[in-house]
Amino acid sequence: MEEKVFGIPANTLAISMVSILIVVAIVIFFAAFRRFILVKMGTRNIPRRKGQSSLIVIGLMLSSIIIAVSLGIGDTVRYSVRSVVFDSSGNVDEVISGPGRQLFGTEYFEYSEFENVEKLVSNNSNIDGILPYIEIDLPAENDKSGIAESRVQIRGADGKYSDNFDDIKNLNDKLMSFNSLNSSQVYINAALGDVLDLNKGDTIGVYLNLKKEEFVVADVLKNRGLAGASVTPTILFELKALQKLLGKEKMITNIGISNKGDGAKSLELSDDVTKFLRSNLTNNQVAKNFFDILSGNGIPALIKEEAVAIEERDKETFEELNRIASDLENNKFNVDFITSISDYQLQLIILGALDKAGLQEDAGKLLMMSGDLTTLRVDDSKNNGVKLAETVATGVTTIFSIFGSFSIMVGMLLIFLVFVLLAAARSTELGMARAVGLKRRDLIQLFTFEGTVYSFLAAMTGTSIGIGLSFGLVYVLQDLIDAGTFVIKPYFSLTSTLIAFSAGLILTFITVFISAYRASNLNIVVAIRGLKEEFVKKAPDVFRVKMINLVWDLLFPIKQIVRFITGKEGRLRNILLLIAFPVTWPVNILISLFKLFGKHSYALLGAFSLLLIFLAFQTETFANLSLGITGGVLSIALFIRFIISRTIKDNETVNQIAGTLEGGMVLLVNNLPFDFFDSITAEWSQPGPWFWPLGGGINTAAAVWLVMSNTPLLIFVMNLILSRFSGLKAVTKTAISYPMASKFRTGLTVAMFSLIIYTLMIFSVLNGINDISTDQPDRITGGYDIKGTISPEKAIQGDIKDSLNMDDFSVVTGSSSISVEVKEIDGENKTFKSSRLVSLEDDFINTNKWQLSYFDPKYGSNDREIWNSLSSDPNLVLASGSIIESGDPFGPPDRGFKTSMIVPGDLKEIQSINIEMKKRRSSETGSPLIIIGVIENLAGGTGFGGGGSTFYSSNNLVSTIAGEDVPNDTYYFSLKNKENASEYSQKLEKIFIANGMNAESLLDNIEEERETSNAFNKLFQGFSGLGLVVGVAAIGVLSVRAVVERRQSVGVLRAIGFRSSMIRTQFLIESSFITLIGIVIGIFLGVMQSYLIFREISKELEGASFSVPVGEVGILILITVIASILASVIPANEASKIYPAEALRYE
Amino acid sequence: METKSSAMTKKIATKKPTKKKVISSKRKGPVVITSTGVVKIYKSTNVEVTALDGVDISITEGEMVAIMGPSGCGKTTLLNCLSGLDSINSGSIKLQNMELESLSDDKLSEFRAENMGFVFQSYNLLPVLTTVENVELPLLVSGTSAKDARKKSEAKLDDVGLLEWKQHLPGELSGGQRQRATLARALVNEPAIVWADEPTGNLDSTNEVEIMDLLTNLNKKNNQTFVIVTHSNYVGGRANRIIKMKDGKVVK
Repeated sequence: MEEKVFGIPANTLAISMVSILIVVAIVIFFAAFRRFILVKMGTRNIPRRKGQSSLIVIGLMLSSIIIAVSLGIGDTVRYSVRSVVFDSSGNVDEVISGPGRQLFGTEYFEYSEFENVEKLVSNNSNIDGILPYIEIDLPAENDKSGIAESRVQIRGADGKYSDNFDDIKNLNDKLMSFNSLNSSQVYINAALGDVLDLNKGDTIGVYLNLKKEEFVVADVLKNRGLAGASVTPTILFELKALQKLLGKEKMITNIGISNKGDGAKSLELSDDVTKFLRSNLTNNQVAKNFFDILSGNGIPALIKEEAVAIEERDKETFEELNRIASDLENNKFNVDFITSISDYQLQLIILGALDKAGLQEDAGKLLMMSGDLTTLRVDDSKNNGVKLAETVATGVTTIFSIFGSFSIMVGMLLIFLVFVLLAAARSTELGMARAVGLKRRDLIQLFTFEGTVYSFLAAMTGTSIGIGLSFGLVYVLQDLIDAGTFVIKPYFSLTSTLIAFSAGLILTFITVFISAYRASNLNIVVAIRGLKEEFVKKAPDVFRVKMINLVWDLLFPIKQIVRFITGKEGRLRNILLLIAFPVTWPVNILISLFKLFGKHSYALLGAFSLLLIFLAFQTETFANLSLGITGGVLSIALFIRFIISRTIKDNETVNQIAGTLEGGMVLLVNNLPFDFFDSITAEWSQPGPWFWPLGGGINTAAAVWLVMSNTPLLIFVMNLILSRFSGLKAVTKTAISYPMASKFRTGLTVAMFSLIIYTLMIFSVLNGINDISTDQPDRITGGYDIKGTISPEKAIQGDIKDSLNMDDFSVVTGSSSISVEVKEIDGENKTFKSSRLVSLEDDFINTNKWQLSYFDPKYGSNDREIWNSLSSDPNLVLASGSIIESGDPFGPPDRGFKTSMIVPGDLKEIQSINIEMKKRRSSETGSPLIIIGVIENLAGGTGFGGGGSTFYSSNNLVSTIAGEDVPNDTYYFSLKNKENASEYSQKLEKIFIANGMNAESLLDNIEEERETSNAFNKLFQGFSGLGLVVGVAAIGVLSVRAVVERRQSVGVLRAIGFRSSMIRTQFLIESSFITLIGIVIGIFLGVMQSYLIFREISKELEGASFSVPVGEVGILILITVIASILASVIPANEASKIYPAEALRYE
Repeated sequence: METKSSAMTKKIATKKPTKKKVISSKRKGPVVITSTGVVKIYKSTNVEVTALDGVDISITEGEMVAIMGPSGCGKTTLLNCLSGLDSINSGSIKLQNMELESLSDDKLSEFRAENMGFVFQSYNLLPVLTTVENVELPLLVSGTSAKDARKKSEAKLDDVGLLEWKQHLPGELSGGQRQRATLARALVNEPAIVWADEPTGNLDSTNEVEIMDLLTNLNKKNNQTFVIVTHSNYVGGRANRIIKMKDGKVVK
């Protein structure tokens, strides 16, 4: 499967980014070559001010670092999962197994089926190996030491085929063979050797059919392929010997297929081989009958409709269904159709569609035939594993880049700030340059050359640091994830390096170019004399000129061609603008439109917003509605500004009132509860994860705008507070007034800190909510201490309590389960979907403390009564929280049963839901059941109701639906002395070793999970906190600049009696003041946003309480302020050392 | 507005009419400023410039002295050294019997805050503070309470005819107004010595007269010592005494 980054194939992305980079490089080189003097002028400042240059490069590095880290972690996860897949599969590319009709335990099939498959594949040149084998789990033990392992993978392979299929080697790299094993010998893999402390020649006890048999370890094999992966302790038998031991003569569980070639090459053949196997293992006549039925009654259209309905959730199934539909429409009965229709999940979906459309008769016919369609299932296991690796890697990259995007925004703000400051610092010099004949575009080039050097250095170092950092983070991750089951191997691909480098460089470069454009916009006189810009504002164009400009911009390509021919404003510039027309055309039209509307631009913004809202309703997309409303509100606020400016003459007051309204109104609509529009938009498509950083950006911009519009108020309040400290009065007055006077740069810096603190706050607050596991662990454990699972094949005979000392336990209870298929009777989800049914013993129902998130009050007035009513009526069930659509954007599609009757956020009291349930892959009609409540998701924390959708009933339902007795597979234990849980779980494993019981202490599990999740949160927090580095760098740059700009003022202050320490304090207070405003805004927004998120969470998490972790916030504030003070210590010291006489001479 | 404020100044002027009176070199009263053999050398990598070359002067309390001379003769350097803004290479300076060289940087700052006021050619008001905030700054530095500082500053602004401009930023004032604000700032803590470096250098003649009227009136009213560096013969003419300098030396 192709690697994807942000949904774009990685290679395509890398190639296009590198191409853009090359084009940009060529243009820059060309321009540099033409006017080398500009390169000289632009770059000579870099070595001159080394400190400043390093600060700039550090700031610019951030986007490269974050992109590299996100990609690096994705790469590593992909590589690690792939390694595990390749390691454990060895040469097995596809696995053929039984039809899947068995309800529990391992499904065996006749060896003769293998012989048929062997004949079938002998002519297929894509397949170079085939192997019949048995694969099961059994308990095993080192007889000497007594160390036992409850689940060991047992493989019995046919020696006749295994030698040609895959190599197995001992630890000395010597080739071994299944043929050389006699009936009392086994091989074990190194993993098992480690676990049970076994070596060649030792005896190993294996529990077969609940009885221990002893075998001699003939050799210890290297972990790989047939011998089992390094994470899977494995025992190898010769097939016939194992068949005999198990009493399964002439039976096997799997056939392994090996494709031609190794590694990636064999993987490429996987699709073809799978299709070949599926179509040939499908009964073509039955498939043809399917085809004929599905071609009639308008069914193809129904299938298409169904496809559209699930498109968003499950792209792959959508495509398959569409293909089937078009094959049916075009009357093409071919291999593709046969392969697709053999997929049981697709059959279920199609049957569901027929059922919904009232074609029960057709559905019934198909259901009857379905059992004869296939006798064996083909699973392209390796390919699936690799796909999983891809999904997980993409998810990880996406999560990291979303969290990182806040820091990237901050990084870009810094670039902007740096260039604003550079332009200010050099305004006189640039003014002079303009006076002696440099054009504006020369100045743009000058800045661009300088910026290119910074960007290049930053992208190089940023990518390297990012790669290093991603490895560091991976090692941290490795510690977090239980290393026993999954080994992480650091990896970074060339493609990712290219993407990180180019993306970082392009991002910085674009910002540099925009900043250069802004910085070059100076008036010569103003620049030389240091006047204010408003002295030289150009008179706006008259209406006629604006109209003509607009018309020209509507015909942008023509305009550019004309300009190119006439040479107006530079041929190179015009041709570049023409090449970039997909971007420049709309941008130019927009600019012209806004110029045309001038003071009345609010009307234009309003019109665009209305258009967005209209589109939102047309396409039912929430993102458009949300953006449209924000734009609309902003346009209203701008209109109010226009009105106020006509009545109030004082600009300051106008800005204060209007700015407050603009910022405030946008903040308000951007922070409405998530379900505010639910009555309209509940069914609309929700925005992807990218919407979060966008919303964060809008929030921050609005809040900073609001605060910076109210600087007089802020100064007043701060003076009021600080004037109480008499020693600081003079110092604070200047320290506050200076940053408040430079609103733009202060605003930018404040925005940087706000953005970062905003994300960190959300993490902190949401972390706090998780603590429910400490306060009310019963909601997760159900009040039990130990959970023990066994395979029903090795069921405990008789009453489990007979084997236990019941003095130690207060409750011992069990449950049985089978796979079922479920559909709604009244709701929209009428397709049978896979599920599990769990029947609980009466004790279980009576003693558990799991809570419900929804229930029907008809069956009881509280959770306990609802639980109790399960015992009174065998047709009542409770469902796990996973039957409700969660809309998780990261994971693979969940194809299990979902209800259409409940959406997150509904009231706790619901109406019961009627469903139909049948055992898996049966053609019988199902049993009608009633869902009377839904267990809260928290219960899933220990596997109860976790995973796919699950239903819980009273004791006998499993056996009733299965039509046979189903033994218990899970036991829950409550100890009288709860402290002993860890110890007792080991004891239980020992007692029930023959049954292969896996027992775990639930509280230990919670503790482990909490630690892992805390560590993950800290990791993400740390990653998001990278942005703080930039914020701090910004404060550093700002302070350096302030000291240079204000030398003279420092001289005056020293002359009127400021001690040098007062000057230092003034600069330090100034930087902490800016930082603090940023922090306050960030905390405010963070708390507000996390409260909104909490509201959503609390709908499903009854009893969760909202609290702000004051300690953590305090530390966050402290660290940030200290860091920014440290960043400004050096410039502040320098300021304090300014000699007054010298400073005053600077005139 | 310009006319209004100049009218105000005239009002002050008419209240206490100025009399042009040149007092010869020695004036009665205690000596507040003494320099003996002051040498100041500026060094850069290759060049060494002797800006002050053995300057001996003494100025008595309440005197208004103008330091004059051609560009580069060391006027401003002398003022900076005398006021402790700049250090000297040799010699000694005494202000109110205090040896400047013996004071630490902090003590010197305190001494300036309590005993000196400064007026500069380019006003040097802090652009981000309002007029009254600029004026009250020296008082706040020396620990006066905010309330008192505001009261005194407003009184001083009234003295220089700028009270109604107190909430304006320096950028919103004219050159003459700015210099009057500077003057108010220099005098607000009632310093014993006021140093003025080209106080009328950026002003037209009308404003020059107004500022000098103000200076001489205040000088007389409060018996403060004024040391003015100037190019202007008019300003020199209004002083009690002129110290002429050439090539780093006092020539007269």
